[in-house]
Amino acid sequence: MRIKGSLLLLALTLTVSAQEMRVKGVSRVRPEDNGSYLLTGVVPGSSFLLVTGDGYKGLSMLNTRRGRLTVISTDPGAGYEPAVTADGQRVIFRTDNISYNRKYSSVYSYDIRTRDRKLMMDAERGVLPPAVSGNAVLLKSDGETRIENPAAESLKSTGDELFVVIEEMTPVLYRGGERMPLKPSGEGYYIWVSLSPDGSMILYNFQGRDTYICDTGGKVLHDLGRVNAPRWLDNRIVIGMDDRDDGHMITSSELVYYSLPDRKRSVLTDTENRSEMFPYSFDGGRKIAFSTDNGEIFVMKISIR
Amino acid sequence: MKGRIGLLFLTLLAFCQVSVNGQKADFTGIKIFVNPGHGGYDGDDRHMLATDFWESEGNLVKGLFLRDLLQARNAMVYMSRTTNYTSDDLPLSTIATMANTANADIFISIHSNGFDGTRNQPLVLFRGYDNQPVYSGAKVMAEILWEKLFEKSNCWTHTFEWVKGDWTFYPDWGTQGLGVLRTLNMPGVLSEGSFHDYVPEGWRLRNNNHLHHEAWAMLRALAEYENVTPEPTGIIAGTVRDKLTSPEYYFKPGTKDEAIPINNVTVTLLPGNISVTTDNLNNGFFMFDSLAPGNYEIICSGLSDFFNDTLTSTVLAGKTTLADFLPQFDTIKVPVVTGMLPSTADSIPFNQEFTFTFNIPMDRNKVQAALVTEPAVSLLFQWDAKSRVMTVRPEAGFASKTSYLMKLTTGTCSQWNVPLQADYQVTFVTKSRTRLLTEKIWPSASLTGVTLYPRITVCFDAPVNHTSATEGIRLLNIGSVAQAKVREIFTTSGGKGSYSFELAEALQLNSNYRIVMDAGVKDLAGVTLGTAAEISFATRTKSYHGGSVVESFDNTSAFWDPETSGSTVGTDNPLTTFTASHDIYRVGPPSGKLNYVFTGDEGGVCRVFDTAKPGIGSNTSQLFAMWVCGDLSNNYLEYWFYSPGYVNQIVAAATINWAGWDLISIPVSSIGGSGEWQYHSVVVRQSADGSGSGTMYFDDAMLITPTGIDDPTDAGPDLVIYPNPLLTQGRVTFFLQSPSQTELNIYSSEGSLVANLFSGRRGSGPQTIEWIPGSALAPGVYTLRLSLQEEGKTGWQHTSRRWVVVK
Repeated sequence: MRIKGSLLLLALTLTVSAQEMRVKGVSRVRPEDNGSYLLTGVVPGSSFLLVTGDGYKGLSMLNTRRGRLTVISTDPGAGYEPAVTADGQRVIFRTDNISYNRKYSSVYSYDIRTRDRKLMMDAERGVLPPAVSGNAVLLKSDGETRIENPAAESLKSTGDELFVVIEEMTPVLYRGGERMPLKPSGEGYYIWVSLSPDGSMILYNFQGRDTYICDTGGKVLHDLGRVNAPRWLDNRIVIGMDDRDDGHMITSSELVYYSLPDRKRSVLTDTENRSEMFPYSFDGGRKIAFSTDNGEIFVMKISIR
Repeated sequence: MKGRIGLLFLTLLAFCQVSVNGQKADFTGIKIFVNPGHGGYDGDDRHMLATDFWESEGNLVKGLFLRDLLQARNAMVYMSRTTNYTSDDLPLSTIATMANTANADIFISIHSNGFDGTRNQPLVLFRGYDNQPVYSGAKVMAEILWEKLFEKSNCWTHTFEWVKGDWTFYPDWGTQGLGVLRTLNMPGVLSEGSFHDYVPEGWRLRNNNHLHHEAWAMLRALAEYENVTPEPTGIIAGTVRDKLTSPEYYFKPGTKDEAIPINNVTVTLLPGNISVTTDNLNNGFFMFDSLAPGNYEIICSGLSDFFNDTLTSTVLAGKTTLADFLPQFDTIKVPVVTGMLPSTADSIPFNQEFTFTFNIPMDRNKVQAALVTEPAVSLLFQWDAKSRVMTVRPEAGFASKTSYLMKLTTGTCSQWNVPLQADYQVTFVTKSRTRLLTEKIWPSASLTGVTLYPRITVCFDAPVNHTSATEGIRLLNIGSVAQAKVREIFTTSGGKGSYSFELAEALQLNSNYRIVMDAGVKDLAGVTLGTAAEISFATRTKSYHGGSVVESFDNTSAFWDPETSGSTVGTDNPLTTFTASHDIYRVGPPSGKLNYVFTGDEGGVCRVFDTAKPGIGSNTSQLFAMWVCGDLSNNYLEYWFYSPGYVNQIVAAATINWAGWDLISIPVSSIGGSGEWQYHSVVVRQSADGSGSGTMYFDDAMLITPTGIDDPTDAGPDLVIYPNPLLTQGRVTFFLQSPSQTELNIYSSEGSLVANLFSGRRGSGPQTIEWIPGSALAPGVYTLRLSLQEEGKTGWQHTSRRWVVVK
């Protein structure tokens, strides 16, 4: 099934020669408490965004239509790279507890329907942000690595999931029980690593400079240039930001995107008075949510031709 | 260089095995992210002209050494950069993401600070409000770090604890705060270790030991924050200074920096017999680190004019013991004349200056009293700051074709009353002099486009007799009517003299005038010009355009004195001032009056900072202009601006080759960066052939919108060359009101064409042309000539600038 699906997507990719993205409209989402938030994720198949406070303290779901907030957690660190299972039912998030000035982290699962919260990993050192493949979750700390499926009754892994995480600044691919470190651009720091929706490509930023795409074997396929905080919109487009600063404060930021078929980076926004940052796509790739440097949340409707 | 004692490893080892009060023996298991701020000598770096200090370099040296210290203590250290290229200047969000990805326990961003050149103290920032940190641990760490930074030095200008939340510290930024702390998921601090624009500290920041010392302070703070056993060793650090001499740059009175540091001094530590040498970068700093607690002796030696000095110092574990040498001058030294200029004794000019150099500071009054000339001549004296170099020149000039004897008797004494062992004498013969010579007239012959408010200036080779100049030098209009003079000024400098005056009424637009000098104009010795002379010039062709005033110079309290404005270097502190002038102004009193005195031959920078920092918008079709009363100094005038984020943007406005009031404009498009600019400083930069001192006035800075119908200036293309002197690559900017045929050529001083930079048509608007002199081009003074012929018009307009090429 997976191979057939991938081939179909590949065929679609090849038949589409140009990927031009246009902005159809931008509207601000005003949280009901008028607070400042940082966008930190989206809930697939819904109109909910995941937002967090300063220092990633707390995690809430923000309804983009009414601005209603549903608090998932008020814990420190809860807003840092939460993951949502493919069925859109569970939010997996890490919380931090700084004890004697050292960070210990736990991982929780939050059921959106029942609002139940379950502990998945308790107060360990070196806990990575949770990685999700389908409904399965990879949990990793300094002392433990395991895959769980919170949606399954048995809480056991099926064993064929594909995860990519960063361990000691290096991308590591987990395929079933196999662990495969990758250094597609050589020795250095890797950040912003993610798998493409079809699981065939890995997006990453190397040394804080250019962003790249490689295949799961580590072969570099694309150099995207300056696309910070990159996220997959679909298998053909990556969105991100081009943020600028003066060494102390953010002076500007615009959204950019990279079209894989065109092998081309383009600018999506060009605004003088607003710094668009940390974009995420949702609603089937028809919308992009982003936050600004002063904590406002916006939703942008887009079209792709 | 640092001194280390091998014995210490044993001590260190012993301490590492011990855990007291729950303290960890080392940093094992702790992840620390180190971010050396800025990077790559690019637009957001901070470069201090006075000391040639780059913040990106200083931050990196501190960061790398901190990494080494931490790794030696088993910490897991991550760094956002380990080199200093433009590509290392990562976005702040990227740096924060790196730290988050590393899962760091603590984040430290390393910087140095800048403000107004008068302040030096540590500042540590954390995210949040002062009493409401986003991470409580960040404030704890900030307080610890500030204390460690503060206690490692005794050269602070302010001593209060300066630990701030970034939301409180930058209220204009709301809760955006510092970009690098904004998206951290762990406690983070930004350390501004000291102020790099306080010149004494700027020089110290050029010293690697000083930077390493700051890294030690950061290590101590991290150890305390992470509850790691304090270092079992300590540090002795300090400076060697000459207490008899104060630096020429700004220092806060009453601080250690009042005494000038001594370069290239050997400092030896006992026991251990470890020696270090202070560098040649005007900081006198030395450090011995990793010392076992106990008592030490440190000896400074190798100073030619000072006695060796010894200090005792007690080292405490985890602390710095500060030890400053103020060695005693060798006061029993016998004074000797070590040099005398000129070395020739024949055909000496009538106003020759003689320079006597002594081996030690002298008693000025006694030396002056001991100097005799035969035949007797009234002399003028000048001394250097250290009272070692005496310059002598005749007040009215030596007589023509006369033999002289000049003698320093044994009454000549050092500052400690030790006399010269024997008379020191020279003889010379002056050359014949029959005429008073005119060395310079401004406006010069045939000059066009002269301001309507000139100061007519005539320079002579000797101080001029006042009455003869007042009566014998006139400005006549085309009808030969003498123009009424006001504010006549006579000056005497370097054995020469000048006479200048302004006019009671503005000159007429587009008119010819003549400066006429009678044959009887004479110097103080009675030597005359001999023959009458005159030159003519023409005034500008178009009237001045008004604009919207952004700075009237009416509130001089908004301006800082040059010494406190930062970036000022090489000026005489008490003699360089910026004050209000109620008698000389252009647009109503007062104007701003700048008296400046450079202490060196070139490279001086005199900046006047305007705290009002008026905004000038972002319209690149406008001109920024200011009324400037020039002093013919041939120095350079610069306007300094901030682009968003307080990034300095420097624009060369003009070579100061005029006298009197003129409206000096630059295209706003020539300002670097983009967005809403702010004007903040006017700067006089000393040129190689510029005057060492002068007086300028400033009035009404404004924004002018060119109309295309009534040009704001007399069609002057605002030709600006930068830098000048030129080392490797230069830039020529000018502004075309309309499309023009354009020729841009470089000529040698002999008039031969050296290079054609451009030839052809250019459209209207701001223009920029780069010039990289060929490797075969000899250093020297060249003339850049811009020739323009507006489309549809006949005749060419020429504008020239002198460009000094140094290699």
